[in-house]
Amino acid sequence: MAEPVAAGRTAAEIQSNADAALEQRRQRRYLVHALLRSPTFMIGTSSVVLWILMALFSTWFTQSPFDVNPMDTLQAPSAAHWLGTDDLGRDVLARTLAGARSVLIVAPLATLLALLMGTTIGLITGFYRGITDEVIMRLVDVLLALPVVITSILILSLLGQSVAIVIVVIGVLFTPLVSRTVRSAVLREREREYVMASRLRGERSWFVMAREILPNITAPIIVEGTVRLGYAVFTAATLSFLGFGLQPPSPDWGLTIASERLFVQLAWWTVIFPAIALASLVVGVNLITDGLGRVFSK
Amino acid sequence: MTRLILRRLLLMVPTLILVSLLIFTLSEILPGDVGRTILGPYATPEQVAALNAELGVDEPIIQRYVAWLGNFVTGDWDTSPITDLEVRPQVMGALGNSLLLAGMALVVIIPLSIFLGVVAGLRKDGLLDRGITISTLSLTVIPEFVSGVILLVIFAVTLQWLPVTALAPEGSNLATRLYYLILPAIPLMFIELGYIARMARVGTVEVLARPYIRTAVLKGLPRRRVIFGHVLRNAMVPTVTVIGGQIGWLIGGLVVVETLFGYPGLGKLLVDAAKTHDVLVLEAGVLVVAVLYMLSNLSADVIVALLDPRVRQRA
Amino acid sequence: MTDDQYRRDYAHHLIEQVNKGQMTRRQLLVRASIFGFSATAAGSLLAACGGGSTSSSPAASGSAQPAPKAGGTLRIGCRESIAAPDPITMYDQASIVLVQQVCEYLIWVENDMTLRPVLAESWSGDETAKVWTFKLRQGVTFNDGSPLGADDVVATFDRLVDPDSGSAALSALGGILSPGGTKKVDDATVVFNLDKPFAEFPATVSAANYNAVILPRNYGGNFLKSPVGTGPFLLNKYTKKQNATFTKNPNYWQKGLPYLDGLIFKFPADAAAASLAMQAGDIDMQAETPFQGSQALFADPNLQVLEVPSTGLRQVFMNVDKEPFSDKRVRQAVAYCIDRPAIIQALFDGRSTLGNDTLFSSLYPNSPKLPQRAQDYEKAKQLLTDAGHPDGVTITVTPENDLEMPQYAQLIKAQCEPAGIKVNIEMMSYEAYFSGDPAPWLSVPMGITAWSARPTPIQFVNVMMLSDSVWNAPHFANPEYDKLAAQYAATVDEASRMDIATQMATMEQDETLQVLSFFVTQLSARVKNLYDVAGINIFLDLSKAYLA
Repeated sequence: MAEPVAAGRTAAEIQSNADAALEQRRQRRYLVHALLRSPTFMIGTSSVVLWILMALFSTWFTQSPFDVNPMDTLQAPSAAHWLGTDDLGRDVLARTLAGARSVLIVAPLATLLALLMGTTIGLITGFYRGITDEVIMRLVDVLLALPVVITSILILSLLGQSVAIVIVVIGVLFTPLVSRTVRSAVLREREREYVMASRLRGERSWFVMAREILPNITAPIIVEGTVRLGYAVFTAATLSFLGFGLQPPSPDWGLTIASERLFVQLAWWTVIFPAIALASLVVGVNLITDGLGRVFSK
Repeated sequence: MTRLILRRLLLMVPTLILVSLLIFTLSEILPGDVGRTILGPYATPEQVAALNAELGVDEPIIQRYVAWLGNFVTGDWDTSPITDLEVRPQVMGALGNSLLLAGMALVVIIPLSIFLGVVAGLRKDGLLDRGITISTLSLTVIPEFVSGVILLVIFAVTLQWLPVTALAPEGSNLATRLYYLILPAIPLMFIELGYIARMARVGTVEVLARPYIRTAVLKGLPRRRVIFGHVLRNAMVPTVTVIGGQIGWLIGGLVVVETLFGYPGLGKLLVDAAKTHDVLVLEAGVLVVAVLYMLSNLSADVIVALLDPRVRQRA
Repeated sequence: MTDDQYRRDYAHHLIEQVNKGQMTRRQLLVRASIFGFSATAAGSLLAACGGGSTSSSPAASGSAQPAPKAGGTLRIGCRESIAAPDPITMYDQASIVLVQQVCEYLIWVENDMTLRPVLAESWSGDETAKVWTFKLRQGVTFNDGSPLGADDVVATFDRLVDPDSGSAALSALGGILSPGGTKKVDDATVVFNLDKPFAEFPATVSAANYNAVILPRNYGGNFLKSPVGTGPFLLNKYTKKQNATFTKNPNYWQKGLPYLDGLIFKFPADAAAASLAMQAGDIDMQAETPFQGSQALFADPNLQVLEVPSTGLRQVFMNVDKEPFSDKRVRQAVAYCIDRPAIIQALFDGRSTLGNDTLFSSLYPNSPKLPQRAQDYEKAKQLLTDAGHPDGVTITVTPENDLEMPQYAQLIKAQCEPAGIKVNIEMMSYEAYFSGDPAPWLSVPMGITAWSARPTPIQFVNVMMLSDSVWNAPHFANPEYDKLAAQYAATVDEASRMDIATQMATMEQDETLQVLSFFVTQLSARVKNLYDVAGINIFLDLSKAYLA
């Protein structure tokens, strides 16, 4: 990455800041081009974008994912139903495409929550160090020691099963890892010149953290965010598979696989297609992570 | 080195106390009561209340926590009022089963993933690299319940090459027990494959880029010696760290796989305990998991310190 | 009138009913068995009926069935129990079938709802239907060596109706039998003095009241520690959540039985696992095979799937104390949205008996014939408008996450929509549904609960529909209905019973406290070479079973 830009004050600094800003824009353009040329990144992004489009618009051109058809349950793929029907006669294609919706709401929001909280914690602990750091990181360790799935189940059993609670639970449980990554990044940055310069100038701590350090650690945060996103999709699917989270008749992939796996011998299509869909989304997210990682490390 | 280990072990204590407090609070305020679960839907509310009073469910939470903590650390894990089984043998037995399953998966997949990762790193950006990366990543992200069900239908039901259940008949020897665990272990192997391979690859690439490696190759040292001598050792550093961190996911994976195959491991035990509000089992089980998690992280850090002298000094 | 005269009169009455066409021959067998006629006596009653051939006992084996063979261990799959099996408080499938291998009842209930004498040799009631005399079988011993006598029966029933016992039996016997009502006459005779007349009393001390196994008089309370009973098997080892093993009882009172050497009960995690276990040959039979998830078993050449129409039901109740269900027109509207044949097709591939929103199923003898409800959106919409909801209404249904109920809920949701009734589904796990105070299955606005079969409708009515019923989920309280129910329970005359039943059923249907779209046909998958298993679902009698 290029030399960090400091939010400085003197005229000379303002001039050098302008140059530096220009340099930064050039850097960003280069980055974007590199990303566009990276096959992994592009494939991943296409997959995710495709699913976003499906989540938004699939019902415009498919059959209804909710129309039950008691006479035509568990039908094999045919002209009438390209991917067959499920145990209540609903069109598998429609449900598979619409199943993206729930995941694409839960996972990104949970990730966002984790990023917000984790970045804040990481900044504070990395910057201040000392007692604050020790205490908070201990608490973070506590959260990390809890197995995500079990804790989620407990909390969901306790607080009920709305989508909002699932988002909050996953977000909170992912915060520790984000905060760790951010903390490491902050620890590296705080020894850099511009930070010291900023502190010598007497700038307030939160200013240093927010306006000086933060802009320069966006890269690891973004990468961490996409990693978390992949895990979030996985976790959300696992929770709905285990029966915690979404309710029928949602076409959510985890929920569908859980309820249709009874029929996997007679009607493999009810399970395979949501599975492939889920896999393609998570792989897509991971490819994005991969691509970003490669480009940022050059 | 010893100081590092001791310090970490000591730090585990307050963390564990906090974990236990958290789990205790969560479990104790779960809805649905113990008395009702034991007596069933047909008992009258008065009978349920009487049983709950007998079980001490109504005492203040701090009092119960202290009592429970005292018992727990002295090894008295009590008996579950719901199942009438003693908690410790139940949890430890389940733990043993899970360790066997997880152990089997890890023993196979760690060497395999490292091998694949190193190969990918050595042939960086080549077709082999791409192929390995894509396929390991793809297998990794397939949720365990999906791969598990598919494998089950193909290998256990249709081809009948492997047994349908994960639990060997009582009294079987180790080999038989492992045979029954092949099918459930595979989904676990899949989910670990990608990340371990990736870290191994990253480590390999990093090491290969270092000047002294190039020097060694230019000087004429046989490549193989270079690889085994330096690359592997250093590729292991991030890999071991990741394995330590993956234990948490392994446990999640165990929950799903054990539920799917009906295998009486710790994961299934905890989910069942959460559903039936068997709080004693829940609390004991989660603490055991937390301890294991911390120990595995500690071990990972120790191994890394052993492999990388620089880390040792810093410690 | 002497007791003999009373019996003769009743016998004539039954024959008359058949001849008049009010009762089928099969139904005569059921009524006769409840009343206390032995199988042979019932057979001669049938023979006395005019015209037609006698109905053959469904247990009669076909000519192809091989002769009984001793030996072998039978592996049975069933759902695992939540709590440790305890005969007094048990309420779930696994506990019940496990206990049934070690202990026995006074009377067994066959698949066709006739009663078969087991530990009771014969029984009869007086004309008030308040005093019932049971003759106990001689020569029966418990597996600890002590002989079975009247004291054991008295102790068993006093224990069951004791309010402090928390037994499910209280629901069946509450208000009918009280502590002290069971009296020993002599070592082989027990008399039950009921609190009120109850014509079908024997059904309530039969296997249908699953806690009513006969335990020794000095039963200590911990069944797993000392599993003492009169049954064909001995409990070897019970490993929670894994399996339970039994060995044959060498001193079983039916000489030469059981044929099987031992039993192993396994607990597959769910329907899918159970289905796979059957196909892989891991288990030989299932206590109950839910249709959803076991479709593959029907096509398997090595297996047979037994189908027994039963009065097991899925109660879709609507709580009259919760809006918008306080207005019966809303409840009726919901009922009119349901396309019952379609639901039966989707959930069971047609294997079910049509229901008409009343507990008096067509499967019971003398069931009233009411006009069959069918889907009618016009009516539904009209009812909603009349009730003040011209734009529709939103309701929440809370099904148990078990068997086919999640799918049933989704079908209900889809079928209610065209009438403007928006249904939200809030699925609850089996454990959560039944726990808490009050438990969801008795308090939510609308839920779906699975009930196992009862051989007589009054056994459902008493526990579900009376003002003081323990498990009255719809919170129905109608003194008129209560009175009719008491009358029905006390009346022996079949024609009057029919009349009262018709009134009760009409009331139930009109009030629509629950949608009963169907009565479940029980399924049980077994290997083809397993014979003579008696019972299905929560009834499992393996005394005569054998593998050939």
